[in-house]
Amino acid sequence: MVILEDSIMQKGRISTAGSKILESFAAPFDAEVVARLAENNIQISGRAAMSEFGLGEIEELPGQPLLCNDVFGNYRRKAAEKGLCCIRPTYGTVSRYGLIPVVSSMDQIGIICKEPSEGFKILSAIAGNDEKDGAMFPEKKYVYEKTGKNLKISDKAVKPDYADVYEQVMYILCCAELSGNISRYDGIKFGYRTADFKGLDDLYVKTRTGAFGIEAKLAAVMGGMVLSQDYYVPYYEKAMKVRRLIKESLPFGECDVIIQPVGSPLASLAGLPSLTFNDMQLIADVKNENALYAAWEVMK
Amino acid sequence: MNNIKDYEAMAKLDLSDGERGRVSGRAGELIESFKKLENIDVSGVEPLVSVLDIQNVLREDVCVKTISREELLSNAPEQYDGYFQAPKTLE
Repeated sequence: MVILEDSIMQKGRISTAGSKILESFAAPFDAEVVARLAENNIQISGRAAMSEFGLGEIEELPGQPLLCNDVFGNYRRKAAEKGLCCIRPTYGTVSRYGLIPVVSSMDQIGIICKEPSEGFKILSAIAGNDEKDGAMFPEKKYVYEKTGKNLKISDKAVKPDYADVYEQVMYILCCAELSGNISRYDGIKFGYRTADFKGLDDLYVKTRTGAFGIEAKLAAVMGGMVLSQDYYVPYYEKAMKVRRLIKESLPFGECDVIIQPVGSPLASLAGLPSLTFNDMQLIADVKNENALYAAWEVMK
Repeated sequence: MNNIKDYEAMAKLDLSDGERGRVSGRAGELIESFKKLENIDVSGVEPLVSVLDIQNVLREDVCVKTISREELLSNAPEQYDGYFQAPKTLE
């Protein structure tokens, strides 16, 4: 049995992604992960409320495994606080077809669970290429197991290069992408529409102003700013370049697993798998979830 | 920085004075913190657009049925004769 975050669509069910803008949005189709859960006889027992587009803190976690898109680390922090695990798989290994988009270059469905064995079992049912998601690795299936002889785990005290600017790079890229993704909410095609408007532009402005919360409004304004002519090169393009430096600076090769603080956005920034438990976040190289699984066994 | 109202207008938003104060204050703090990026040398570095090391994915150019027109329109606040309905754009 699993629970779905309210951003994962189930045909005919209201899917709000925590936003008033989608308060009446009944999903017209099932997300790919919903279809794969059904194929594997894993029952969906309910939907979990979320903050608007996952931007805010998580109030509560359900008692059953939860499938969720943890871009910003809010679920990882809450899972650690509650003594639970959070698996964020490699970007591009779980289909996002039917996931309401937030930050497209980082969106990735993961799992909150009591033990990694439970989470990886569910993950093995849902992971694998789906042609409906254009940014995926080609593998059809993944096998998750505790392999990893001579596992090398980095020293907790060693900070990777550029760790001092992870937050800034994250903020710039997230605002830019989120502002683009929420530009689809116009009060015309689906979702909330203001009752009182005069003409098209007024409809757009009153609909969006009336429905978005303060965090989404901040992201929309900041996103427009970092993508504008004056700031594109010093902020947005620079953040994309530093993102490459961050990804290329990681010490995989010398070690299999690095230890990061629970709130570190490194896994989102570099598209890497992470496993959060006991106040730490283990991160491995692309598609090396098995090193995380093995490291958990050693460190739990 | 341009006036915050210019960015609001681009985002099709009209913030209240209270909201504008909060957004403006937070935006100022963020821009201050972005100065940390100034010291990083990125000469010769290509922007990382996708973390995936894959190229464009193309499929065969054949028609596939996804969802029906009725399903697509089912969430529209207003529809007319099988189309989304929007306010008049020309008088």
